[in-house]
Amino acid sequence: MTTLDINHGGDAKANRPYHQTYTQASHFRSKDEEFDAVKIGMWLFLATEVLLFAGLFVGYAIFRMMHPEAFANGSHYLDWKWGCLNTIVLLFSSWTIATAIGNAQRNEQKALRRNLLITIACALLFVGIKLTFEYMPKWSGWFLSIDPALSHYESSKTALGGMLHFVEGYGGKRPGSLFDYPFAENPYEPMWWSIYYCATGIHATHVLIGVGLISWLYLRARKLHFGPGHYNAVEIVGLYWHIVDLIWIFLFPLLYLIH
Amino acid sequence: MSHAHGSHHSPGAVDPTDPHGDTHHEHVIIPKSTLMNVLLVLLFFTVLTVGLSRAEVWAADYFDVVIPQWVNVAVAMSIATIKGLLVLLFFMQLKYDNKLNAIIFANCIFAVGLFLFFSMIDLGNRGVVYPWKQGEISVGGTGGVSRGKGDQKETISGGVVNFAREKYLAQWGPEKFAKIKASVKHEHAHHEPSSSASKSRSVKGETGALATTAPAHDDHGHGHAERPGTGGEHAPEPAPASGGGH
Repeated sequence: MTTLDINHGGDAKANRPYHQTYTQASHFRSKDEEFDAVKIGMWLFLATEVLLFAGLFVGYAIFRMMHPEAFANGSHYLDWKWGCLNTIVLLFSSWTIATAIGNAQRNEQKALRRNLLITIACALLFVGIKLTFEYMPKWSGWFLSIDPALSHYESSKTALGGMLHFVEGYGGKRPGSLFDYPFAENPYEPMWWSIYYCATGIHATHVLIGVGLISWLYLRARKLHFGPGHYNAVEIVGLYWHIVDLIWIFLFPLLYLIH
Repeated sequence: MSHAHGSHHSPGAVDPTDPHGDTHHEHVIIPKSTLMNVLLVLLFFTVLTVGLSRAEVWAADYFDVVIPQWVNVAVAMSIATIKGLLVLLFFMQLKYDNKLNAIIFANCIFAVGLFLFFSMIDLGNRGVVYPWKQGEISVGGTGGVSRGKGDQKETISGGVVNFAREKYLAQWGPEKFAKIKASVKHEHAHHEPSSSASKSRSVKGETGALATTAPAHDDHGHGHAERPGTGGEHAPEPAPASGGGH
């Protein structure tokens, strides 16, 4: 999408920001046509993203229909409060990046950078919560010392100068043959954890990719690449970020709120 | 109508950048207040879905009522769908956008629906036995295959290899079976080790039935004769030949 003639055309053009001097790639007739093409391409990609998760959702549906008790038991190991908090974090970040597009359209450069930064922070917060308060204790039995769940359990040992606490018999909630939790109530609980880790893991990977993409937007926004004349990248990364949010909107109740 | 761009041509002239005219959509700037309202509604529905789920647990515990699982799923998925639509229409701008994008996405959702639908009708009907098929299905089997007509009709269960062996054991009796086997098999004796079914896969339970019944000894014949009612020691129950037992 870059053009070769950014700095061609004299000093007057060279001094103007990229978004004002931007012209479409040579195979498009206009910037609008390029904008439409870029968006259609992105929507096609989003369709493949939805189909990727569709496999997981259908797998979820089949296994839940076959073993409803395992899924109800499995869901009860999750804390809906973390899921709800992460839902709010993602919805908020969807709002900030949607607002960022408006900022680019209105040439509000400072607000654009601020909203992109907030979106990155929310994405990192989401993954941070998932890893430290959900994956880590369930997989290994090790809790972060500030984890409120520790008040319900007795830790048998600590590590890293008291930053980590180990609760015996809590961990081992792992997928498939890695399962090592001694108190399962249903023989199909390892299958539940397979679905859980696959679905949330692929989703969290998308969140991390989003962190990379939005960081790229931020670096470009600092160079005044985006404005009323050109904001294609903000628009399509925004679309990507919303689909990540959209997937989570469905994962959250399916994983955390069933009984 | 939305031909704000490239309109430096005089009216009526063909715009070379847009020969058909009206193919561009105005870049919509969604008001900040709209985005904020959508966020607030999304947060409200998040709280609502969690609240309803907790209320359901509480009602079930407190009043000791059993709420069917589909209620939980239907409520949660309805709310998620509303939230998803809000994200699609406003945050992702489908409401204001080129309709082609919405069509692409709607087709994708339709494909997901088909995927889910056919998976579910398959799974939902695994346990169903249609009355007109009852005579052909043996209990405990995964359904069988029927072949032949009239007197020749037979229903295969427990694997076709085992079925054929048991059928001829019953038809001929053990002595004739052994005799015919000896007369037929010696010609291909050199093939026997590699063609043994039990050696084609490692025996780890899944091929157990095949492995234990594959080497046909004479005493199997006696076992088969005594078997009806007792269950027998080899795993699959042979289907009665020509459907006579129904």
